[in-house]
Amino acid sequence: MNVYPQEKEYYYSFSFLFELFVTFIKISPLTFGGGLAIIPHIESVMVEKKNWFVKDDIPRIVTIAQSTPGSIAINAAIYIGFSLRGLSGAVASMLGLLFPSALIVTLLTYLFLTYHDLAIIQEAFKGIRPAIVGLIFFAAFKIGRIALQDRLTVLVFISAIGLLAVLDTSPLFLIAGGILIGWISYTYRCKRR
Amino acid sequence: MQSILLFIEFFKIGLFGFGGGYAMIPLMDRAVEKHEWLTPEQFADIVAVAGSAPGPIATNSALFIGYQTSGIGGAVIAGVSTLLPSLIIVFLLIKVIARYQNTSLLSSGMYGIHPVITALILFAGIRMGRQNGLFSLSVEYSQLIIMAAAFILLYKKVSPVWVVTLSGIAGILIYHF
Repeated sequence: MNVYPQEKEYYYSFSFLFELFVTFIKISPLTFGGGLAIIPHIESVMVEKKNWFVKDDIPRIVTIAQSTPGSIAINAAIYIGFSLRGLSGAVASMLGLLFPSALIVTLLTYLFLTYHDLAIIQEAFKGIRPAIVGLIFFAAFKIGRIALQDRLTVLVFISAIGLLAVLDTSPLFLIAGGILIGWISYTYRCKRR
Repeated sequence: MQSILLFIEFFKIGLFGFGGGYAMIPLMDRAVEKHEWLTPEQFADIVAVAGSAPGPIATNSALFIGYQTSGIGGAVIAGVSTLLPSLIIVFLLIKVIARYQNTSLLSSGMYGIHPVITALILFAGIRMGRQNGLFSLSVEYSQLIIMAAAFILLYKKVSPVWVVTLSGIAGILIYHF
């Protein structure tokens, strides 16, 4: 982190919290589509524009944002806020990121609930629903490309599909199992070395 | 009671939503079905609206589902309880990593989680497709074409907002005229 001593007072001030909030309001519209796509934007703002982090900090931000449950963009905002200004910084960054989208979602929800029964909206949604299925398949494809890297991961993938289809196993159980398998295979690989 | 139920369910979704926004959709799908908060069609529509707004799709859908079940209060509860686990876990991770200077426990955990997430999302897609009649014999081919076109457009890095907008226009063109 790039906190210069002469500026330290500013980092404890309320105006810095507000700056965090506004910075993430500006990043928010770039989170369309979600996922890792946001990282280059965050990098350019945090490293080049604001000088709050150095380039070497970015991989750690990505690792934490990815391994924490929840949206990657939100996790990155929380982590950045936390490391710069503690809990209040984390909340300010998170709220900044969510503020514009919450407004838009509220508006869309209102429009959707009001006009949902109009014939033309129903027709539009008859087109949108299959597209959303395509969107979800693409999300699976995108994660699958990173996930299925060797025989063990393919085996885990196939077993998870089987458990879901045949036994209707709870996703929470499968996720916990995934973590365990990851850790066990890691310890195993460490021992063999 | 409803608000406690909302809090517990969305906290669980937030806690187990490894792998980002789309990974939380299968979890929400389950909760929504279990408590009969929405019909499968309504759920697909909400994902559509949430996906066409900026911001994380998971938080957007949480706000939406919360609002549908118990108004503004429900939206706030669902939103906060999905975010709370992220706040807590990031905080814990910062402490742990500061002490051990090692992220291999995280990356090895993700190595095992990622294939599970892939399966969950794929399965959620199949489920949603079946509920909307996409994989039955009586399917209208235009619907399958829209599904495939959406996939290809996303692969070509077209923004989901455009995909949703275009498919909406396609729906109006096909079914209105």
